[in-house]
Amino acid sequence: MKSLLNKVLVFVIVASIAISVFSCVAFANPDEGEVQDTATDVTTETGTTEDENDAEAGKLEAKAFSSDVKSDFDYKAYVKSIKDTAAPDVSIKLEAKDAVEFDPNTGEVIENVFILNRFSEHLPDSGRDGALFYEDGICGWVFDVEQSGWYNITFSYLLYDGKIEYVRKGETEYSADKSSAAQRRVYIDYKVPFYDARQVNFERVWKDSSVLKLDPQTNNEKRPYQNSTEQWYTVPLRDYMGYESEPFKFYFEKGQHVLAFEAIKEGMIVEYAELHQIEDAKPYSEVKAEYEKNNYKKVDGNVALYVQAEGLHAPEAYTEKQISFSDADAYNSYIDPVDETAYDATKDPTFNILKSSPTLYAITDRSSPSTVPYHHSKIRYNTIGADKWQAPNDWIEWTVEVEEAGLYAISFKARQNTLSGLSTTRRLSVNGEVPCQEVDNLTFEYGNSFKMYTPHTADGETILFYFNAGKNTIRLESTLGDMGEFLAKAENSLSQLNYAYRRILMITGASPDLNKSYMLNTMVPDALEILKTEYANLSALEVEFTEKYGKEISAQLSSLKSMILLLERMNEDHTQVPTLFTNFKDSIAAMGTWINDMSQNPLELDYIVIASEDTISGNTMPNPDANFFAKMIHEIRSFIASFTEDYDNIGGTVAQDGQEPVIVWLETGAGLTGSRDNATILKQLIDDMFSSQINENLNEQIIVSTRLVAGGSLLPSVLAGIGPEICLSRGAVDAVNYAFRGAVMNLADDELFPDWKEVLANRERYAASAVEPFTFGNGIYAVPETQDFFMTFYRTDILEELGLEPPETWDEVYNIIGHLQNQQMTFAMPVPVVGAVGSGNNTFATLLYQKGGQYYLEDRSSTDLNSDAALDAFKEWTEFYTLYNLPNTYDFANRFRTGEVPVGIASYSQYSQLAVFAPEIQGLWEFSLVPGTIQRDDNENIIYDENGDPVVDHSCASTTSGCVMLAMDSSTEAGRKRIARAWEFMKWWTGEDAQYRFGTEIESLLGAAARYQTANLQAMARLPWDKTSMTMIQEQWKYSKAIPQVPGGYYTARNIEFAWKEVINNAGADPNTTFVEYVSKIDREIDRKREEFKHKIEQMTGKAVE
Amino acid sequence: MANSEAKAKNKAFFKDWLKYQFKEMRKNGSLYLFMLPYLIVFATFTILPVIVAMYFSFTYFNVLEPPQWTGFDNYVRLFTADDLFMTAFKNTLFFAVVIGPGGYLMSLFFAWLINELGRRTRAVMTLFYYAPSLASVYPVWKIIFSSDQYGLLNGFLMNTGITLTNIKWLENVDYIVPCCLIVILWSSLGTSFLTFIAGLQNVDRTLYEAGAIDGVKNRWQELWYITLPYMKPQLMFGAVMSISGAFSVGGAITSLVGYPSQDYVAHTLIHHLEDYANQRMELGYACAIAVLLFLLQIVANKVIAKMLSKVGE
Repeated sequence: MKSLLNKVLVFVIVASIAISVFSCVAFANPDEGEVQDTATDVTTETGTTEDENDAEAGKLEAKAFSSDVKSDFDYKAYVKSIKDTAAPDVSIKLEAKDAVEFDPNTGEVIENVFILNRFSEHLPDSGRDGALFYEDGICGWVFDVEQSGWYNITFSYLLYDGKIEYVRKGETEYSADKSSAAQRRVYIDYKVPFYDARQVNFERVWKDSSVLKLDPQTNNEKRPYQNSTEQWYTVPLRDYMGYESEPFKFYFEKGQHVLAFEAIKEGMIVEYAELHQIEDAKPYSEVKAEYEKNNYKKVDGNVALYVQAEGLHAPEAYTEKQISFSDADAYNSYIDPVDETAYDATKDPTFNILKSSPTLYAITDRSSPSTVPYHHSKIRYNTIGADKWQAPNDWIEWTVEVEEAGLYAISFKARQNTLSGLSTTRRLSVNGEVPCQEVDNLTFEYGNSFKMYTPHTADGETILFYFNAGKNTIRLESTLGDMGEFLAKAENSLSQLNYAYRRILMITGASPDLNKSYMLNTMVPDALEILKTEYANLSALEVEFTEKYGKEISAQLSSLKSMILLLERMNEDHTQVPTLFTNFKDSIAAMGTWINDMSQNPLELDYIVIASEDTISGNTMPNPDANFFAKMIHEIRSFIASFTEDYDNIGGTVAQDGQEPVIVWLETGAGLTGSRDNATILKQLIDDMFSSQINENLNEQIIVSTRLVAGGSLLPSVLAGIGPEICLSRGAVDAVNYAFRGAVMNLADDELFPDWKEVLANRERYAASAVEPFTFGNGIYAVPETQDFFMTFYRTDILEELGLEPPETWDEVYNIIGHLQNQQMTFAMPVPVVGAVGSGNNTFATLLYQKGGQYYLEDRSSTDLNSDAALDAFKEWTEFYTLYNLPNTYDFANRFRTGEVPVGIASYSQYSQLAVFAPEIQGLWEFSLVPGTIQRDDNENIIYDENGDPVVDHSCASTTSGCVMLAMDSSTEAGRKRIARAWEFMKWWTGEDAQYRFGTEIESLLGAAARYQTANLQAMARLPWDKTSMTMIQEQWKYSKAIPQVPGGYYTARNIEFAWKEVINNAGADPNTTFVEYVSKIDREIDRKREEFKHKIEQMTGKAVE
Repeated sequence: MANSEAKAKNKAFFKDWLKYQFKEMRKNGSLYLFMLPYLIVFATFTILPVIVAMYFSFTYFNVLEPPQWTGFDNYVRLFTADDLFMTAFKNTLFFAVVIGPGGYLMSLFFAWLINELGRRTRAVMTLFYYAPSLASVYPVWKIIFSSDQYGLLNGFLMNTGITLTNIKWLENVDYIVPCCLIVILWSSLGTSFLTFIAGLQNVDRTLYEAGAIDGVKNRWQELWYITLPYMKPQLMFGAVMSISGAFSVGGAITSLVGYPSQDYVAHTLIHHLEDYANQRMELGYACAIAVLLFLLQIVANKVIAKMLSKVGE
């Protein structure tokens, strides 16, 4: 039987090779399509190894793109799976003009991709034609390969900045950039070749917006913004996780192929893709021989060029001792791009430092007086990198100008003080190439202070680099080096262990009964087998680690070690598995975090020296570290300065011509914006976008003073009459409560704020639900800043495994809960958190709104929670816990990560959390609308829309924060002027531009986890969300509804939660009676408060209070 | 006539008394000078606020608008219309009765125990016992009492098979108060504990010898008749600290079970006060609660002082 099968197989292969020759002809001559048909017939008839044969069958048949690829079929496995090792030394260039768009479902070519010429006179390197790979859909090439073998693929691309216009399928479309890296999924011949190719990243190129200027008032340096620049950039396709330090190789049989890229994020302009061989760097000995052959000479004497790694400083920023480091000419040559006429991008010195990520901005190091430039108390942005420069593949590139061509030595003043016992690696390239093997993995050891690192060979010989006369580039790129391989192995083990965990979980549940025998050896022998193999793998890994890095690394390995110990115990006796199951889960989480930590690769740079060999090895180099006395003096001076330096005053604004500044407060810990970093960004935005310009409406400059104050300062300061004009980031409860006491301005006032409707009633700017919580009666008391609401998160991999669809309605949720619980997994809904009252309230509100209920009566004189809808909603809410046994305390991110909760509802901010902190499940989850309720008419018939689909209400509750204007006297001219100025500020700050800029700045400062949840719809549309996620968010946003505020409203959230806890904690409690009882308490409090504020409420609503 | 005479006499007496006081003060001027810094601070930050709070307790004051005089309204409402106040009052008394004497006796007991140890061990043990009141230790207890199955206590109970599901220690009304009591008692070995140790060190050794000669039969008698009477000042100080601590229990509960606790089972006067001051912004009413709490503590102190005078009798 077997031999027969073999024969058939051989026949098929022989036949298909033969036919492939024919089909090449057939491709050239479409009339002979018959031959090709036979080829496919043969393969399908035998039904064996279809895919492999397809590739060999010459002309490819179009089919649907499939992203199915097993997680264990990684790059290593892919390389192993193909025996051939040929690497043909040919180059196949796929040009922009040949690029096409594919239909994802059929694989057919739709049309050629739009060709764009992105040219800007301000950009040094633009004006080349490129194919526009759209921000959605699949684009790529159909091409022929002449010689079978392995190829690297290099990509030349540009990420556009701003809005572009293009024609697609006969229609003109527009697209704006999202200022993030582009992400693509790679398809070869309609499928993803291996697991790691599911996502490749194409970085955007960033630079500082200006040189590092001094603020004349505070003598602090101002941090420039990070601007993305449109630069053509050529990179090989490679592992974005950085585990694989070499570029990917792809195997192509001779014949026709499809190379396609599915957009995950961002549109990009592609000049070409090239299939070729990337040469490995040669060892230095060979390179040296070449130098001699080319007659390259060492530069002699005292040539030494100091390059500040972070940017150009004003000469005044340096101390007298360090002034020799300053490059005053270059600094003075800088012209602000705003000054269009004189600006010339080719001469702009800020282009001399390019970087792959906006988080790579200049930072302050005040730990040593020898950091250049230095000041003991003022801010000098004197270094770059550190923990901002730790993601694999992040690079910084410096352009340096040398006068004379020749061989130079390079030395870096650098520090790695984060990972003790470990070294950090960087790849050094000069003028776009890695000059020799030795600098492919440049290591920087752990140490507390800055040191000079000069690349040298293993024998200690200083490596020299050839520089042309004029401009040269030096690039340092973060690589994992050897660590990558280890981590790839660990990651692999982890995903196996995770799978085993889920297999066992399906039998035992999250907390196994210890008195029960689960017969794991018969139920899930495969899982137990995994535990055994991974034990062996991890033990081997630990040994390798220790051999490689020595004993010092041992402290870094504790997570790995405890996992090994645990596996050992579980392997000894499988009946112990249930006992250790909780440990197992914790260890998996710990190991995930560990891998994440270990792949961080921080390095901090102060400056770079490019000099003759003699200078670098001589003793004229500045000492990278200060001596004991210098340090002591530094510490004493900083200490003394700490008494006079006002660290809280972010503004430092001086009133001009007697104009009082608008005082803006930001309470620490308030909402999303209350931290020093955020306050600094805010201040910078104000300086650049607001205060520096003449305000059009008031025809004057408005000076703003920003202050970061301690949490809870607002109330006492208002009481004492020393409050600010504007306070940012207040919750809805605050705004309305202050309003009842006449402490904040009503912004819906036609007289004082004639244009308030353009801001607050503008549905293109804010959803109604954003403004609603700040509204009471006829007044609106704050302008929304941020808004948050729920989305449903689900694990695509697990749902697929179980054959389930993400739920769209609550009925489907009930269905899914059953399926999940059969497998010992569960569904999760946000629950009240101990110590944070009101957190569970949104869950109730979501159910309530979908049932058509409301919190309060129209006139807000009392709750409307005695309605049927409310009782139903409450009952349903509690039944999730009493009947369906959903978890009532849990950590969403962790359980989602392990797969224990594969579907759950959570705040949409979880998206960025998961994206950053759970990289191992990247691409395995998505989010969609919260489950909805199918709408029925009075006769219980389902209502259908015009397409024949049932109408589903996805309403959910939202939470908003906003900025308030404190009450001011409007009876005098001066008072009205003050109010007008404050209002102009509020409009600007909550406007599209400021919110967008704030969002992007904050993200570049703190990373993607800090994505800003602006309430401004227009600004939101510009934040770096990918298209599908954005569509989902916007869709959900339309359904979002607010919880209105009433006097005594704090009592509502509290008592609804009490009622919920009462029911789920006491088996005997009846939901209906319990709820009614607590609602009556709420009503009593509201009555009491209405009585207290009777007069004010009458004034606010224009109606009498009974 | 006799009346006015008596008045005049009184006046004269008062005058003399004042004169005498001034004379005494001038004589000890330097002493008063030394006390001055403390007196100023004490007056500004303790006496003045108490007086201001008393004034506010007779007003309606919503923090942001000027207070309005309302007489005894707040007090009337407190006792007649506020059912939560009674819960809070009851809880506070309960906590005070358990934690005040409990913590006090515990401090004394442990101090006495530790005092028996050698010098080095004593220093180490003192640190161990005193440490909890130095740092905020509640997060540790939150891990122990964590509601999910990964909480230490839940994990232990479930691993040993005592319970099958997780118990929501800090959310279930049946467990909240006991949990709080354990934690607060544990961390109540504070200042009074230290003073007791100091007091015990101070006892004159010769007295024990004399006691033995005079017929002290056992350690209990030694403690009751010699040690305790000798350290009465420390006992008094400890008692004052315990009482004020016991009545103003609040922070610990908030950090354990959140605020407000489920169904107000652990709602104390401090919580009630904060609720009105911060959440409902009714500062006048909150001041009324504060004044009551203040009176309560004074009464309790008087009682304790009476009881302490019986020590050694």
